[in-house]
Amino acid sequence: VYNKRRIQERIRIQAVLVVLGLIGSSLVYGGCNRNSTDAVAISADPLVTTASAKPANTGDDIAYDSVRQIENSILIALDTDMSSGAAQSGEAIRRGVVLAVEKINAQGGLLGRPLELIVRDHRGNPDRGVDNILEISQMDDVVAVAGGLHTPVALRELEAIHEKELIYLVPWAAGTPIVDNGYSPNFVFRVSVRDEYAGGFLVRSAIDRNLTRIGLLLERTAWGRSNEKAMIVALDSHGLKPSAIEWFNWGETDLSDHLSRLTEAGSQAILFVGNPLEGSRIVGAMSQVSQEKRLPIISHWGITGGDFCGLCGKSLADVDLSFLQTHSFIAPRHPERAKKLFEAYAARFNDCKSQRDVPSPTGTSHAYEIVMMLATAVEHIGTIESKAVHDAMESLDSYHGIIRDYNPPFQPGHHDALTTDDFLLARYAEDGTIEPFEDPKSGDSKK
Amino acid sequence: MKAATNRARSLKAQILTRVAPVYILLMAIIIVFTGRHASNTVRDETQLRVDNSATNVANAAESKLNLVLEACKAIARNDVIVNGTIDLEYRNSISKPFMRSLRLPGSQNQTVAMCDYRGRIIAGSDQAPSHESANWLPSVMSGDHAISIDELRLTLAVPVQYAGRPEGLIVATYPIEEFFSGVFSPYLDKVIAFELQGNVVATSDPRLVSRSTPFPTLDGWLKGSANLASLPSVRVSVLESEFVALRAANTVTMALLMMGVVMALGGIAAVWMTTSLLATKPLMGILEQIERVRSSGDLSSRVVETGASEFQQLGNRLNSMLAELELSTVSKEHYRMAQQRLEIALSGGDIGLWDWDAETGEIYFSDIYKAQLGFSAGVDWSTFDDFESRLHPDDRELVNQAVASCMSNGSPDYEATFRMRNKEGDYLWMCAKGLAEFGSDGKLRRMVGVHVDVSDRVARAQSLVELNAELERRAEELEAANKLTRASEERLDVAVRGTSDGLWDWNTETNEMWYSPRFTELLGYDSRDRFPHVLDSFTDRLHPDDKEETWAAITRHLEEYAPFDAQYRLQTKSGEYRWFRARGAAIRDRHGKAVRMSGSIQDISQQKRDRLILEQSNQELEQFAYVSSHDLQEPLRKVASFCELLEKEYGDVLEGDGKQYLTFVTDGARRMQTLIRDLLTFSRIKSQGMPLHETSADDAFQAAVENLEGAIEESDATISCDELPRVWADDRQMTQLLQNLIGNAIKYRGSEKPVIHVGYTETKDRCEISVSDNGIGIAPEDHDRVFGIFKRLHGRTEYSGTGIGLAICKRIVDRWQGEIWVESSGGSGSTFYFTVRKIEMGVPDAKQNYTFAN
Repeated sequence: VYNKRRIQERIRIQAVLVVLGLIGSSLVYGGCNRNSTDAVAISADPLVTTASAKPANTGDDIAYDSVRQIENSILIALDTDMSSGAAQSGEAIRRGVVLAVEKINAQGGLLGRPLELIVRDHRGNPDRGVDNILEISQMDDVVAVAGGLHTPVALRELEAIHEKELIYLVPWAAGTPIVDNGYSPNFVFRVSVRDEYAGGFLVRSAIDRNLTRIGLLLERTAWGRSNEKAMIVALDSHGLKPSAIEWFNWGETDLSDHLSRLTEAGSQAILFVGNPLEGSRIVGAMSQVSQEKRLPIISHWGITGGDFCGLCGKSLADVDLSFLQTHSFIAPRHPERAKKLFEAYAARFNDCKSQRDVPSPTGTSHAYEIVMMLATAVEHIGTIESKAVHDAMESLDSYHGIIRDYNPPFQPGHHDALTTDDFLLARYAEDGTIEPFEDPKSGDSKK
Repeated sequence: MKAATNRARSLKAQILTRVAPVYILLMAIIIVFTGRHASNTVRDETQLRVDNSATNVANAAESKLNLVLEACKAIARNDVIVNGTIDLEYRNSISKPFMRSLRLPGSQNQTVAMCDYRGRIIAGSDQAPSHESANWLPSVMSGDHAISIDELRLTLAVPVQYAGRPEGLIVATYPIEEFFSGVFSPYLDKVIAFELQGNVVATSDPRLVSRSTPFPTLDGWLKGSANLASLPSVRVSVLESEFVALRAANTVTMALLMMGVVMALGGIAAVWMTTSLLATKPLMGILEQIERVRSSGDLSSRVVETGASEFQQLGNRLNSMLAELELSTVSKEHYRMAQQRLEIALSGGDIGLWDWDAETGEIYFSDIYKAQLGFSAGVDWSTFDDFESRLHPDDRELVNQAVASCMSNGSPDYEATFRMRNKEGDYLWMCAKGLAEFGSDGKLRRMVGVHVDVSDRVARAQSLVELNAELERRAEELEAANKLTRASEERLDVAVRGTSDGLWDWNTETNEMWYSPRFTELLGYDSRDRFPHVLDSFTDRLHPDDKEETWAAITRHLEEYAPFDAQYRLQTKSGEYRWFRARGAAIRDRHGKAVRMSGSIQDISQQKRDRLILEQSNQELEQFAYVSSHDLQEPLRKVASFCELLEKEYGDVLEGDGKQYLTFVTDGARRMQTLIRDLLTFSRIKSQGMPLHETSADDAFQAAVENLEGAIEESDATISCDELPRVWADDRQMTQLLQNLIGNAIKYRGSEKPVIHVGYTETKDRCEISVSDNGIGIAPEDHDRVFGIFKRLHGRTEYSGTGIGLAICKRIVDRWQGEIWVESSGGSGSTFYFTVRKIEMGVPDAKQNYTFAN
């Protein structure tokens, strides 16, 4: 009995000690946690793209490097939004560059040296973009910098690019002044949409559908203004004026007032220029009004740079939304070329099983196309010196790309490889795939 | 005693000297302790209050910080700011003027600015500093807000976010003193100061606490501190004058001191008064009482004390002591008187006294003891030898045995008669009687007794011895004789005690008569009533109508030896008569003359009454049966005769069923006639029977056979008969009896010719007559049933008859108190027996006769 009691006593003491220990350790742990959180917060360097800045919406787990890994490599830099509202566009562009780099390296590299990709994340913020360009300009053996979706960033970077004499490849940003920038020599080369053309295409798309009272809804940035200009010109060529022009700020959460003003002005269609976040807000506002008052939205392609479908949710199905696209894996101009690229894509990135799964496909196609062009030019001239490469790019004869045949892609004073012929109108299928748009009333309109 | 009292101090003084210092000391300790505790509590409470006010000030500063922070956050959320971080043109045209126009609460000299993601000012107040190298920048750019402070400035920074990610900053700066001064309120007895890393950065009273110096330690001031939660490097200190706090504590201590003094004085006074009232007063009362008893010697006086229970006990104990003292004084006198009486008695009776201490062996002999043996009182006897040396040698053994038996049995009684030699040398017979005393271990301790000269008695006794022997012999003879009588008496006594009979014993010569208590009780007397033991007591109470009969019965018994069994009425105490049955027997001398007669009486009044009622109802019943059957005969005869007439006259006219019905009617009427006749016969047995008389059974037999002649002839029966005696009976009924039995024997014959024998045997007091046959017999289970009225064992078609014949037989035999039974094994004949009294036995039942005589 005595032993039993002693054992019970001991067990009780041990239990108390264990409980005290647990409490103590949890306190210490909590304290450590707080400290470690602080430490993380302090050490997190917003200037450096780290693993934590990986795009959230790609499903691709391949890390990309922020510093040179390979000795003696030639660097190609990518400065784009990898983590903010248009992170999907950044990743699509990166994939295109990666596929091109890997193909080039597979063929023996660039000028016999390995080509290596360095990525910087500007998050759509021009201030970051400029800093990134300045940082890249400090690196050795940089053959070129590829930009991202955001026209405002690209525009702000122009000064640094030309000061540092960096070849600047534009696979997405469509602002007309990016290419028509007044610099000479002009280091900017673009395989993408040009707003000047896009304005005409979008206005024509509306008019084709007998929608002549057209309201403009534009983001209050340089890109918005670039489009305002193009669209007014395009409307004017049809003898039309915009029914209304509405501007919105980045970060504006409610666009319903803008919508009601456009509606009050008697608009039959809205031409929208903005990125996924604000695009989803006009779709949301549109879905809130009664069905007969809803207007077709014909959008610039900025909305495809992010997880637009995810941001819109169910409201997307309620809205007549079409938008500008160029190359499509589903309906390509040269299917055999597109197929080859897709095969390489699917082999490299395991989140895509079919062509329909490729996110922001134009970003990848454009990036691949322009990097391959660059490689051709560099191989042709045999150096990575900027001015020489600039000249080589301008003097490329003809180029058989995956999007089209270029004859030639660039010329002095003409740095836009694509034309209105390469544009098509697209829409989101129910599964979120971008597919060619067919107007339900197209028969009527063509008559 | 008196001296001792003087030396000792009084109870009150003792209590005061012993209790008061302790009490005062305790009070002092309590006061000091409580005072110090109160003082500490007040100081602690004050310190707590000062700490609390420091915390309150800290909270107020915290609230102000939060207010500004929230304002900055609200600005940062504004899309004018967000868009300004993206678009340069917009920034220049919109964001910058907006920022310049902004004013935050809290200070005139604040600045607010919008910075890019690296802390560079992109819009805002002109004087706003750059924050590129601020250590909080990474934290803010990861999404947190930051509050930073240095000697001059307080800086608050919040991130400007787009798509959930920080893309720029809103930074507000405040001159530090100006920011915190807004939290102070004017205090007279307090100083509030904000410290940053030990240096004062803001103070409510610059005269006491200067800026940019470490916080001073001031004597006479309590200091409370609290750190700002969101800015831990900033500490709020509050100074409060100690004097204000401790004033309260001192007041409490003074109050306690006063209270303590009052309580101490009050307590001592209370003890003084309580002691006087509860202890000193009753004690003085008891003392006075004792003094009174002592001076007066009056032991009967008692203390009356009603105070505390202890004093009551003291009083009670004193009283009981007085009572014991009084009692012992009285008993001393009693003892002296008793001693005197004893001495007189002893000397008057010439009784010596001895007292033997068995443990020491010493014996005390009284003067008379010595004188009995002729010695003077002066002779010195004190040992057992002094006794034993004078003892007759032959008696020594006897005395020793008596003492030894006393010792071994443990019985206190000692007695011995022995011879002792006197001074002259003659032996005297002495008788010693004593009582022994035993110790708790059972050993003899002491023996005390008396010593008497019994010489004369011994001489007388010897002459008586012979006489006694003769007497004893005779007594033994007498005893033997008595023993027999006693035994029988005892038996009777036991027997009688079992019943409720009363006993009587009559001396026929003296007419003295003894009645047992039960006897008198039966007559309603109890032991206190006078009921003289003489014959007249009986005869006087005997009912006049019964006297003759009773005396006749007694006479019959005494002279003719007839058993005495009489019934008579006796008058009870209440005057009513009750029926008694008396039985008894005479005790006769050798000549046969009765000398005594004794017996018992039994109360039979209830039986008598019951029997009377029964007889009356029987008589009525019989009367009814007789009358009804008698009266039925006449109409029935008419029915029968007319039926016969009808049959005779119209028998030929009727046919088939009608004739048969007529036969049924005639037959039924005839059977009913027989039945009624038999019933009449049955009822007449008692109602019209003759008194029993000497009858010849033989004659009766002959008459029966004659009556049955037809049947005998018809059945060709053979009837034989022993020689029958003369008996006490009714001759007609005897004939009927035999006729019925023989008739049955003929009627229930078997296939053989009936052979009937009437037999006779004789016992001591009766005749047994039997009628045996060779008929069908009767099954044993029916032996009793056959004697019932209307009991038939067979169908009417088998054997005719009404089933009343044997019932008549039983009734006849019953009348003379005989018995009738049947013996038959069934199927092989049967024998009917009946008994009848022999002539020598007299009339069978006197009572029966008597009843009929009525």
